[in-house]
Amino acid sequence: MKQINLIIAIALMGLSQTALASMKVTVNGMVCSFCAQGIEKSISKMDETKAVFVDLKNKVVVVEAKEGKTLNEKLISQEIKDSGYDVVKIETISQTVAQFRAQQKDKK
Amino acid sequence: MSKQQNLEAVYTRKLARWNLPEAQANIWFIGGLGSTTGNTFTGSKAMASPGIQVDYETTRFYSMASARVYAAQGATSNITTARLGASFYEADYDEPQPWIVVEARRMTFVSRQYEFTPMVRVIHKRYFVEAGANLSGQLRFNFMYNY
Repeated sequence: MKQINLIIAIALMGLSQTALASMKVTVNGMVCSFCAQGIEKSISKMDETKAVFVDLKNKVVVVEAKEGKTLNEKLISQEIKDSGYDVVKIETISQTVAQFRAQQKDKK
Repeated sequence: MSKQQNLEAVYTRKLARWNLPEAQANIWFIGGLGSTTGNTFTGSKAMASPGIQVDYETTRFYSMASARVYAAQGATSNITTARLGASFYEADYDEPQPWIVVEARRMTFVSRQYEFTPMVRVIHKRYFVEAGANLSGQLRFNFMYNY
């Protein structure tokens, strides 16, 4: 019984980590804030999105999930392609959008 | 001085795009249908205006060239345009970014010579504003809002 409880607890921890994770998407062709508005607009509209950050200097888009929601990697990738850009890489990161922005500011 | 006014509906289609790690390049088709009036002919003439535009830009550099033919019976003309721009600094997504842009444009229904127009462009989030004046002092203003 203890073993089952432990497995359930680990599984729940895993779920909660996934749900709170952000996605960092490396995008080619993103050179202008006016043109990249479409990315922010379309990803912000997704039900599972809490926050979006477009980092023009590093050519990445960071998407943070709402609590209890899981980001859809394929959908995010498709929205970026539909906005006219190429997705190079998608990574899951443990930072929130606010933490990522703060980290980028500290690097300056 | 000859003058011509064009009234047209314009269709733009992206023919090719290259998304590079630090740049983007495009080829566009621009096509217009409408009418033209002028002081070198009488009445209004039906007009078709196919053209092509190529551009290449980075976060600090902008270049564009375009050519369009304004075809109307007995009153065909063309416009060729080139633009070069540079930004003062690389801006973050939510910061205003000022640019200096210089345009060279030749409109054959006005003159065989190129007119040069230096402009200041500011891009900030959903706003795009461009203002300048050609060397004869004629003002130019462009505004776009991304909604």
